[in-house]
Amino acid sequence: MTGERHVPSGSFFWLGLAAGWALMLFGLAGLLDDAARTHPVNFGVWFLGSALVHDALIAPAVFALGFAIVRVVPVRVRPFLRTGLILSAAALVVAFPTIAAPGVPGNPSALPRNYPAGLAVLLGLIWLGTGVMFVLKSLTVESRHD
Amino acid sequence: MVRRVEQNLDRLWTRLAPFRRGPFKQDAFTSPLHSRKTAAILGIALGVSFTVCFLTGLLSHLIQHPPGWFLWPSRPAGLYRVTQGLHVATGIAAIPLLGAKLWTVFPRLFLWPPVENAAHALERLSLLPLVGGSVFLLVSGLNNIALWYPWEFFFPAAHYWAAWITVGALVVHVGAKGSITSALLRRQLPDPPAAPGGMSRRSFLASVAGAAGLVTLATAGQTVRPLRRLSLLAPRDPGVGPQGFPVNKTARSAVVTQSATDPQWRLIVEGRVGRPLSLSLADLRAMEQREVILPIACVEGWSATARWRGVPVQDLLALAGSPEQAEVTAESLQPRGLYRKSELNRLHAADADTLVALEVNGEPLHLEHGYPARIMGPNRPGVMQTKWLAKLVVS
Repeated sequence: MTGERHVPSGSFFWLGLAAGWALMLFGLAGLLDDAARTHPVNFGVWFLGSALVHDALIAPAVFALGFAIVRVVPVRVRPFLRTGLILSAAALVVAFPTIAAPGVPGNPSALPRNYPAGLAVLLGLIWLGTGVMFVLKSLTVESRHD
Repeated sequence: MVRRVEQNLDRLWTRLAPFRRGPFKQDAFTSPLHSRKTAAILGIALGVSFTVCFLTGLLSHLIQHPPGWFLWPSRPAGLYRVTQGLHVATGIAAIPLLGAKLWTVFPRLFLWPPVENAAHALERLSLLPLVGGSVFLLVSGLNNIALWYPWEFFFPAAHYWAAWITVGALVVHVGAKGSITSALLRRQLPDPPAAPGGMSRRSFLASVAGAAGLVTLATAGQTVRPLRRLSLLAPRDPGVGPQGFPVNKTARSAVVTQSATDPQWRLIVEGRVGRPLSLSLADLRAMEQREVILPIACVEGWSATARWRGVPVQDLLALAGSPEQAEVTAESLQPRGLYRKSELNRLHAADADTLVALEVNGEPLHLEHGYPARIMGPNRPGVMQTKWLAKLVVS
């Protein structure tokens, strides 16, 4: 992405900017108007916090992991490892609330499953699948060398 | 004047150049996957999924808070089940897409020079509500389907207004990136060769698509019944709950356990009627019953089909001598709460399948499902299928 510049310009950009900011101001006005239910300060913490937590914590951690993979993991394993990690990350995020949520007292039909076990099964399948792909790929590469 | 500011900006960045360290350095991020083309492809996928989420969410909002010009039909019976199921499923599928997109464009956060002119500054400033809003919407939505509220705000209101803010930021972003995106997608650029041990763009995008598919399969069983055994992470199972399907609001939390089981319970029909009615459960059971197969489709994206039996609202209105084209407010025994009332617009009130339901799947309603009587009609959100019915007010 280095060396690529794109400074926005043109009527399409300015039109989008005007329309987009109008929509954002509409949203903000609605939010403030309904302050009794939206709790704007607490909302702001979660809204801006979402961007901040991503940019300052999650992204650096992911990039650190990426750099570590390049340092430590053998070249031919890396692509499979990355695929496995992408799939696992998605499963972990989606599973997180089902495991961390307290559930609803007196309502066993909410969150009725054993989610840690479900997550373990999914992760097992992901890494089994990634491992099988790796072995198959290694075999085809080796047979080509023969 | 504008030129002066830009010249000053240039001078500022030149002076700050020695501090251009770490992620700000020219070649801090080496993976060819951080390319504009990858960002463009993921951007299209996210744009489509956010549009689907926004439109289906807006629809659900309009159905629950209808302005004068909006009249939600009672047919097709399963439409809301589809639109709201799509809202939740698309939001979940967007999680890996958003993660991949943010990873791809993360190096641009450290763009140098950070700001070149006013247009550039406004475009970059609009990225804050775009990123904050996108993450906020997906995180709050995902928490909501697990009924987990670790914040002070009321989820539907905050999620709704955040959606407008985010869509506004998305419109700005499309205005800024639309032309370059379409140019990149039209150009038949070859997939750049991956670095040794690196991932090709194709396998990166395939992995992300695979992740989206995986989380969809892992949750969609809460509304697509044949998938329910596969959906290990679905927060609901359409086959689990009293009488074989889930409950959202329990009788205990609605504080109706006593009033709903009181033998003195009566259903009142009043308002703009010739003869107000006060009917006991036995009176209702003595009336002609109608049986319908209808889904209960929750705002949280789960749904379950059941066989309902009871008295059509239409018959009760006729008995009470209400005028044609009547609208009805259904009130619950629930003493408090935003969902203690629901509106039956004239189409829903006149639909022969809109019932005051007394039985489900061949048994009297379980207390958790609204005993002694509840509204059950086609094409309505679950929260508007008012449980523990007390009153029908005709207007």
